[in-house]
Amino acid sequence: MMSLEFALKSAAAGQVVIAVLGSCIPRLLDWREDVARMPLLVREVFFIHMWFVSFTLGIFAVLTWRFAPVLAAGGNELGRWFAGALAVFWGVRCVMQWAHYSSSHWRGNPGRTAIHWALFLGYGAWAVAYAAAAGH
Amino acid sequence: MTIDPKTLELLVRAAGAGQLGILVASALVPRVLDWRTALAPLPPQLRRLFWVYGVFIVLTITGFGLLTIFHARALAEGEPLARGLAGFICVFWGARLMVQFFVFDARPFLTNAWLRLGYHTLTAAFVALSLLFGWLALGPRG
Repeated sequence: MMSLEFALKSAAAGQVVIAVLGSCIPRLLDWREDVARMPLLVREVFFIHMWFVSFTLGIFAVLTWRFAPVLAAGGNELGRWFAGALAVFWGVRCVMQWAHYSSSHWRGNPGRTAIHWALFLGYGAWAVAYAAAAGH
Repeated sequence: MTIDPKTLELLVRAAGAGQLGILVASALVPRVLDWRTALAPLPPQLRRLFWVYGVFIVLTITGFGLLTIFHARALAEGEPLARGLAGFICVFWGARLMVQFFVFDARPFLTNAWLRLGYHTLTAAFVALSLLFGWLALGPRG
């Protein structure tokens, strides 16, 4: 069980990183001018959604870290549900990495290609870890 | 003060239905705010990210709704993980309530009685959900 607990804690740490990076996306991708051109209410919705996503990922991480031994041990009704929900969540996100984003955003740019694959493999690994926790 | 376990379980199930109801109201937002037109001038990647955020939040609220409907008893019993999950949901709806009060100025969009009723119903739902899940996270059990 120790290895699954470690995998879950790694997923928690990774989600903290994504939460922090996600809250800086307009600056990281130099979208500030594009965001500034949005109508006011849409711009507010964009920022609120961005903060909610980061905040929610942060709480996923905290709960995963705090309850990793319970999740890894299995047999807990809510633990299996939580792990199963996050497996579905990251599985969907993994599929979206290919199905929703155009490859034109990264193809031919080594740096962006590396980020694309790192995100895809990371999301996939988290989905597998949570699915393993949900399955026993 | 404690709440009768059966009553608490019933309240949790009602909260689950309420959260799924909020999703129905949320589905109207892109049309009411005409997101398609507003987002059209943006770079494609930024436009896609906007929709990814929306899907993420819909998935999260769907998860809350299903959790509270199908695991109402476990949430009401108050084991540590149940309190942790309830605390998470409480903070989520509490933050949404703060946004309702302090960030969005919806008045220009509340152009008829139905929209005003919907807006105030949503506000009441955010208050009720924050209180209920706060109780589930921190409240005593009999």
